[in-house]
Amino acid sequence: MDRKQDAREVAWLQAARDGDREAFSRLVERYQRPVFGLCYRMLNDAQAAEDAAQETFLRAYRHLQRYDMRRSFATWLLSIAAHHCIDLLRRKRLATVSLDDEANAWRPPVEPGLSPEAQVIRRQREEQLRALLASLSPKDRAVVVLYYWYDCSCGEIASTLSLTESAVKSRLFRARRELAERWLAQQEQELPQPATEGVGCESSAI
Amino acid sequence: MSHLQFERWLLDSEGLSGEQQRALEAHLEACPRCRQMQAGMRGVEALFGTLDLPEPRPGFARRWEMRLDAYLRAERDRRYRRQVGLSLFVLLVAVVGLAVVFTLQLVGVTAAWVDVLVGALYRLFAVLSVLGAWQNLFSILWKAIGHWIPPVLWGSLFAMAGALSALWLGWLARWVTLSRRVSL
Ligand SMILES: [Zn+2]
Repeated sequence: MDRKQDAREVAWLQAARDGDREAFSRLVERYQRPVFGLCYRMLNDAQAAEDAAQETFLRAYRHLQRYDMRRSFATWLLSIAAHHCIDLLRRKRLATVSLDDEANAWRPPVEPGLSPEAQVIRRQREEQLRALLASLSPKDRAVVVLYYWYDCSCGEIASTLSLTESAVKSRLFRARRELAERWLAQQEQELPQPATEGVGCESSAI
Repeated sequence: MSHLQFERWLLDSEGLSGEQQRALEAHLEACPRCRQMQAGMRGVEALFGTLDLPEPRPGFARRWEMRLDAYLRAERDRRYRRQVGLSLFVLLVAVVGLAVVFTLQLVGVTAAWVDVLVGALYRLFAVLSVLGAWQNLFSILWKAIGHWIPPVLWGSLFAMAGALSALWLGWLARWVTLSRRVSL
């Protein structure tokens, strides 16, 4: 994701620090997607992700004076969001979302251009991903999400999650082994296979 | 080279040198377990690659502004309650202080504050030391008597003490009602 701050963003940040709510709202509009996305991948639930993302922006607003303007604002926000989600998961508030809750929870809309079959496949893949990520500890999950969906380097993940770079590397190694084993187990249970075209992930958050 | 080393190469985030890549490929040819791990990792990464990050529900920023409003309102209320509480506390302290001064003047105590405090503490210590002495005395007696009085006798002693207390309480109650009637 783009972590460079342009002049407009710096001006919004400065104005928000001086108490301009309107300026902070611009920042919310700009960063709602990456913050919500991280919360969604962490918590696996749209309503919980909405709450966590709102809470992230509220915390950022309250502690804006502590923000170091030399750091990337996006990284700072993601750090708040990741720590908040890790806390939530550790407190086990969201450890087990019942099936009823899942059925009633708001889900992100599927792309309108998709055919019904493609939508079914997408939903199955989301389900498969949900099961894979659920097998990881909260911190390992944050490492994996930041690495694959935000294109963060191990150094950036380390500063986002308050870890050392070597700790990030060993967590990533452990998580990948766990994910690969889970994926193989899923295949054995004859779950719908994902398309295997192209290896890697270049999706960008913004 | 150990099997674990190849697994590490498969799963590590860092790139491999040409020589390492060749060694890994040779190992994969011969090792079904590592081949499976590679297939698993490829499957996981392919799955990740097909799923973008979901977007929040439309109107996120507006909902955030409402949440901020609610937070600021709650914060204002909390501050207001804290101020009221503090004011009440100061008022209470002032009232109690004035009451003490007024009472002391009424009783005619003109001694300095320190003298009054020292006197009160001295009396408190005196009472405590007397209580301590009584406790010592009773514990010695208890130990001495405890050895040569059988449990049956203890039981009857306590029963007698209980009966006497009940009698005394009954007498006290009658005396109170009688005195009330007299005063009426
Ligand atoms: Zn092997």
